[in-house]
Amino acid sequence: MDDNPRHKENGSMTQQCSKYTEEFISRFVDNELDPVGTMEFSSHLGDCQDCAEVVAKFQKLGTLFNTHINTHAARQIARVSRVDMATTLLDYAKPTGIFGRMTDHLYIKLASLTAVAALLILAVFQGAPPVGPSAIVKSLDTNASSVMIIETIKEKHTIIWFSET
Amino acid sequence: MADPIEEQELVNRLKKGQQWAYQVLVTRYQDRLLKIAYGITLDMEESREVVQDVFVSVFKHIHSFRGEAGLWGWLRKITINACLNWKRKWKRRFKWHHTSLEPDNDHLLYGAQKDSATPESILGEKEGETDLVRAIHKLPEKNRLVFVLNTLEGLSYEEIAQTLRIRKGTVASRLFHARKQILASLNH
Repeated sequence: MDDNPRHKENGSMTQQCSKYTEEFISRFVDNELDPVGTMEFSSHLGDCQDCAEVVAKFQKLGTLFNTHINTHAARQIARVSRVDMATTLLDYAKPTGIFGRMTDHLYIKLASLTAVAALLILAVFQGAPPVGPSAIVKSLDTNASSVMIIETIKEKHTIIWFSET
Repeated sequence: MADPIEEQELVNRLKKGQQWAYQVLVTRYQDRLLKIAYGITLDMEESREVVQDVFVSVFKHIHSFRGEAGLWGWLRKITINACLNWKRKWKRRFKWHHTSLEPDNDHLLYGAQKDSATPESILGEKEGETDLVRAIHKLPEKNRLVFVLNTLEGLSYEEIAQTLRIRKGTVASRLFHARKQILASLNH
């Protein structure tokens, strides 16, 4: 019995030649045989159509897959926004530590601070009572009565208040 | 391949946290990493997320980079691990097995062909290419990984073995079985 591991022992669905295994041929395709094996098989290839077909099939798989990657995949890769990707990644690349944390998302932080300040100003100036008296008051007091003339600040309405003592 | 001196300079600047160096890193390696990620996941959207995570991981761990396998080797390894983690994550969610086995490009391939391509071309390379992607999709993860690294990156058995921390003979076996399984799928 032939005990050379490179020689074919079992049947194969794609190869009729019984001299070399398909695994051996696979290694030949990848240039992973020793020089003697490479020379022997190369010589055999000239005479064996079966083995030549297996070599061609294995090589075609690689060619087709590379073609697919370099056409379809490359087309999709070209659509990846490099700027967006790089910009996003630069966020991760910023220095850490106190300074890094302070400068991270600086625009968002500034916008937030501005919004808070605006809300505080609105609350102070809209919610607080008006400065000074609620009305301009003029009054006249006698022994028998008192009269007050009040003018509201905002609407300029006049209110006359009379009281008998 | 990048000039080693230039690469060392880039790594030094990355370690100093210089922003332009990050930009250079992304610009230089993004496409290659996307191709590897797509080769493993066969899903471009996921590949984008994977590669984005890879860069973030690189930024965070650049100080642990020792340079034994070179910057590209390091990036490639992180990407491979990220892809495998992505697949495991989806498997945990039972989605991987329930999503269509069609690669995400079928509608593009078929859609473009129906209108413009000739019948010969539809039955020719493009169909073979689509069938091939479908067949690769069906490969066991370990075999697919070896196939992608060998075919796409042109890595030797030794390099694949080192990257995946497996034996060289295992690489040869997995690669052969990957080819055999792909051919079997194509013949059905």
